[in-house]
Amino acid sequence: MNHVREYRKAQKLSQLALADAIGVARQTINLIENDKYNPSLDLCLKLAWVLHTDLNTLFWRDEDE
Amino acid sequence: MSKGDKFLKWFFSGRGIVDERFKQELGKVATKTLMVFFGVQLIFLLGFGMYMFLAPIKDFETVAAILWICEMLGTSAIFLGMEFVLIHRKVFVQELPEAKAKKAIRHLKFEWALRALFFGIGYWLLTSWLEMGKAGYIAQLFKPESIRRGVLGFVLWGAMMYGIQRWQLRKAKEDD
Repeated sequence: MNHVREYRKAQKLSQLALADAIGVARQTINLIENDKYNPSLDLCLKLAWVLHTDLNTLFWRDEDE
Repeated sequence: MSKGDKFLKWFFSGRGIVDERFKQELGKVATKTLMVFFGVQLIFLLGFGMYMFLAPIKDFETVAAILWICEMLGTSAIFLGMEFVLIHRKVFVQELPEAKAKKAIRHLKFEWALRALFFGIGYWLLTSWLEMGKAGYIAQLFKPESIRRGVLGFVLWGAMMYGIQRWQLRKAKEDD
């Protein structure tokens, strides 16, 4: 599971606000948070910038996860 | 939004944001549609070709008319099927905050009433021109039948398109 939801909540952003900030639909954010959609590298970078973190923190997972 | 994205939205009468997931879903459905289209065309044309070459046909004009009708209906059915799959997958759904959604719905009603009005007038003028007899264009234009068809086309098409787009326009959910 990625950490997009945690970091979004830490920034006090709703899914809609985050979606607006990076130019995607709210449904896309929802699918990313629930691991049902693999975003492109470009979108991952935008997420990391808006959530003030880095790609590793947001998306890294161990082999056994 | 790029011109290509605007064209995609216009072509599929979709709402919502054209993001990478939208394009990915569209790509998946379009690939499957193309495969279905190719398969149907291949089988249909092989079957029709065998009939044309083996059966003793005398009236090729009727055969051509049948072929044209089948192609028109088949192609339309496959495209509409693709549109329904995309609608079912909620690819075109646009979510807006409550205040914006109300405004967007009002705008949508006005937009489709206006488009339907132009469509109705266009349909009325064109069908009257195609069907004018010796009495002339103006006489055909003001026949009750011509006017009735124009109005019916205007109401049905406008209502259908408004219904499809209204269904796609939703109030934004709380996070889920």
